[in-house]
Amino acid sequence: MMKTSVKWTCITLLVASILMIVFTTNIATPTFGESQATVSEASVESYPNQTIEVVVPAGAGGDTDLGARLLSQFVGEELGVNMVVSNIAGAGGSVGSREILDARPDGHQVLFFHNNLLINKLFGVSDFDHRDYKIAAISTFDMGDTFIINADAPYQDAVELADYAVENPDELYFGTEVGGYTHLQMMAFERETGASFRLIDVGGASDKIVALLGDQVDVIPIAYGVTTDYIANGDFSSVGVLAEESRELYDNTPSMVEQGIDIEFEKFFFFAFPKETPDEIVETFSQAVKEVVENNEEYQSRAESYYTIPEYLDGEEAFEHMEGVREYYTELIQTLEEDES
Amino acid sequence: MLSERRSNVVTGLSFLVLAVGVFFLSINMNTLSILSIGVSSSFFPIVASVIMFLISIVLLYLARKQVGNEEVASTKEHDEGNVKSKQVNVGITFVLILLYLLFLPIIGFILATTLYLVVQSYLLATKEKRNLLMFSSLSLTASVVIYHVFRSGFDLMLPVGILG
Amino acid sequence: MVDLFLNGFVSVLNLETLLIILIGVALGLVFGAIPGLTAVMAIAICLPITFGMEPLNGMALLLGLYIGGVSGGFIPAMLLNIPGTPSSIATTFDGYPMAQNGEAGKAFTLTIIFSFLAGLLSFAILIFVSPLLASIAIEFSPFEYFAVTIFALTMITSLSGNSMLKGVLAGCLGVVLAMIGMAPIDSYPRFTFGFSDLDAGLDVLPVLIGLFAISEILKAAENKDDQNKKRIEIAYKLRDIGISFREVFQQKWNWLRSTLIGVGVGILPGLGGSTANIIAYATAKNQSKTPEKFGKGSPYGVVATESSNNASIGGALVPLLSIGIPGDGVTALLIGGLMLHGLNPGPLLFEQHGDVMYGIFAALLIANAFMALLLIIGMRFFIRILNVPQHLLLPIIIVLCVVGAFGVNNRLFDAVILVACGLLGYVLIKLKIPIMPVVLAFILAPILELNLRRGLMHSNGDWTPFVTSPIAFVFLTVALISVIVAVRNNMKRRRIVGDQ
Repeated sequence: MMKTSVKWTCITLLVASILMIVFTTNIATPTFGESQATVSEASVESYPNQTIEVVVPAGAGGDTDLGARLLSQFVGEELGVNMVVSNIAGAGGSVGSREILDARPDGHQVLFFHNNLLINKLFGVSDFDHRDYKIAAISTFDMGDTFIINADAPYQDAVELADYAVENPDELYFGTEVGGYTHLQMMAFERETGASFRLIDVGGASDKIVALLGDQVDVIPIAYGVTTDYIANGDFSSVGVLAEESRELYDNTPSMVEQGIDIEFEKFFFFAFPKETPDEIVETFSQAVKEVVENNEEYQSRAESYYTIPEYLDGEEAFEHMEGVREYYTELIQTLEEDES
Repeated sequence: MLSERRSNVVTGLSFLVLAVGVFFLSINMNTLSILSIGVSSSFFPIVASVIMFLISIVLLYLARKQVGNEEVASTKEHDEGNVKSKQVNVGITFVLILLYLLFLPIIGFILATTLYLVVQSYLLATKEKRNLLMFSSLSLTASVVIYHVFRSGFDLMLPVGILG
Repeated sequence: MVDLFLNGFVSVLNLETLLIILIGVALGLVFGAIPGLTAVMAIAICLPITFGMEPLNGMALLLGLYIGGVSGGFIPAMLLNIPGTPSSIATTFDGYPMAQNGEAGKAFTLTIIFSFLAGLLSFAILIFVSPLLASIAIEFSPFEYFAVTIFALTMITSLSGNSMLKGVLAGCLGVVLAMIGMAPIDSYPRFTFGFSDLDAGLDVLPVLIGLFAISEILKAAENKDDQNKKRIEIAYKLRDIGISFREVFQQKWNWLRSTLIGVGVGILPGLGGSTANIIAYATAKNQSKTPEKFGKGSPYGVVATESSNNASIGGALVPLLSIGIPGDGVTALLIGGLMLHGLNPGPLLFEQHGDVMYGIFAALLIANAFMALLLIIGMRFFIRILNVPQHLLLPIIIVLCVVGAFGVNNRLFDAVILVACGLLGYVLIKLKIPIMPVVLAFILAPILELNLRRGLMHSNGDWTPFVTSPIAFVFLTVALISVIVAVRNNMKRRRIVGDQ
């Protein structure tokens, strides 16, 4: 038979654990019979009343993850709840994005992602895009996408690069991620200028830098922020940013548009909820993002250290923006398919 | 444990099946031709399946030659009843873990884990050590502690289930 | 240089920073010791905490977590035959048998000593020769990567146990498992059978923990009666921790070789600690005069793996700190930590922020010492784990594995993969098929395929650069020779067995 002391220890542990469950979870709002599609009136009003999970469909580290972790810190404070970043990487971000598509629409799970959501559908990697979500807000832009070349290359601006690539078709190696955002940038440049590059898959941002340093490729499309040191160092130079205008944050590098090449790729980061999420919840969240992005100076300076621009667009504006972007991308991909056939 | 020869035969046959399956799935892959410079996405699976096919054949051939000298050893190893009860234990444990995963999102981490721990401990313990009061109190404590450490401490969003 | 270095130490030697490093290392060890939790996760969680810290303190915390996270994995590997992290897979081969022979104390002491020394040497290499090493790493194009990976893959032959045929089969199985999910470059979904959950492929962690940990528990379920008795005996013998100077000293070449392997593999992005420990183990076995003792509790095996995984930290930091290139998840997060404080990673890091950088070096060395210290203090407590009855301990470990697998990508699907791989591992053990080649091929096949296809894209379908590049040629030749030697040895052994 068991010793009495052991028996009493067991009983004490049992009671203590049960007490802990009772005090730390809110059984007061049972969710037993609640269907996936509706959220009760009460939980809309009390939103947010528990930790919000921000799903980042990319690995830890990298611009989306770092941006999400930064923003979550401040938006969480604004909403008065804890915000936690969960990385669900894989398949160009479609695995993580799908997770939110099927999530419970109570506002406690939200997607943080960028342009690739649209591109995945256009390239056939996924079968959904921004239209399948309720977009809460665009919070941040990276307007520093640029083409980087070695500093001793015979072409030093966008026009020279285009001319060189027109005269010597398929000679310049263009290091990109096939089927990704930067692949589209190459296609846009080719279409706009008539240039022709050799497409080389090299991988993510750091792989591109290594490939250019090691002279494996001639041009890399990349975010300006991660190459500033190499530009200052005299290894690399930029032929121009793929934005409408030059900015101080990106050392006033002239934009492609200013050089007469009409391509614009602005990376935008957005928050999105499942389609069935009540408007009130999305609005509450969106307002908190707005407050942080527009008025929180600490956030703004941190965001700039990641070379991103805090700029808020509300749900409707964000959706319109994404529609425009989608149209542009669709057009680009169509021309590629025409070239193929 | 299986005898050397039996294990070779089973290995050879199962890899043969795997090789054929992988091969036929691979040759039917239609990938974009512009991106398949040199080799396409089906190249590696096909190479692996061909190697598997060849080696399985060799393994089966060698096993055929082993027939004579190992036959005696293999009969000696069998201790039927004991082996069977052991295999049942493994099967139950496996099913138990699967059930645990199935119920985790439905009834939540704390409840599912407590139930799993109690049943699994009961199964693994010898008769004289089975003590349901101790098992259930320890199981409940362990799952509550793990839940809170990971969810509040390490920001891991473990399923809440019906307690949420 | 000495000046800068002294300044670095001065900036770290204050109570606050030291305490931060200590907490980082301790928490890292916990993450490392729990199967399924890794350094990446620890660092990701703690990154936001560093927002409010001084740059140096923030980095000190993250680096402490990194060192602790890589070091803690040997504890369950030795005590339970379950690697705590991918970096300590090979530790199970000899660490667990050592513990079973009643030498857990000795195995722990050796691990602590050589982890510490390997860390020390790798940080010295990082501090003094990293620009040179980084410039070599830049020269690696897909052709060289392909060759190096082929070379690493030939280690399968030394990890195959008795039957090389089964080893190669196991390797092919690893390749097939790695092919599941979207293909590189053209994103073609292979072997997913329409399940979108499989699009991302199988993650290394659940596969690994499944193959090792879950299969181990299924094995325990099979032998529940006889194992309980055995455990009590072992736990009793653990008390003697003593180790002679000679036993330490005779490991010097093994240590040096394994450390250099760790640094070398660590530098190459994509390979890292999980590959380094396997390669170091296989090399130690190949170089040994008594390879038959490996796998039965050889201290050489333990020293090889535990030196190499700690050395891979210094290696991984080489490209990060000298040219600002992250090689894996951990270093990518460290870059995030640096940028957040206005330190732009790149070639000018030392020029512009030399003070912080030398502080970071000092923090690394101190964290390394704290790691050893904490392990020495904690050793007697870890070993007590074995006193917990198996029927209580193993179920809790399964739960922790499930939690860890869930944590990889925050979805239960990875836990399902974990369990499936557990069953696979169990079947493989029953069929006497070695598991190691499955793991090695699973880790290396994607790297191999990616670089083959990238290389061919580069050369426009021409295969010759794979042999005309000098570095690639050397690695491929060595790979070929090692395969021939292994096959010959295998034949010889077979003949001897046949004669008897």
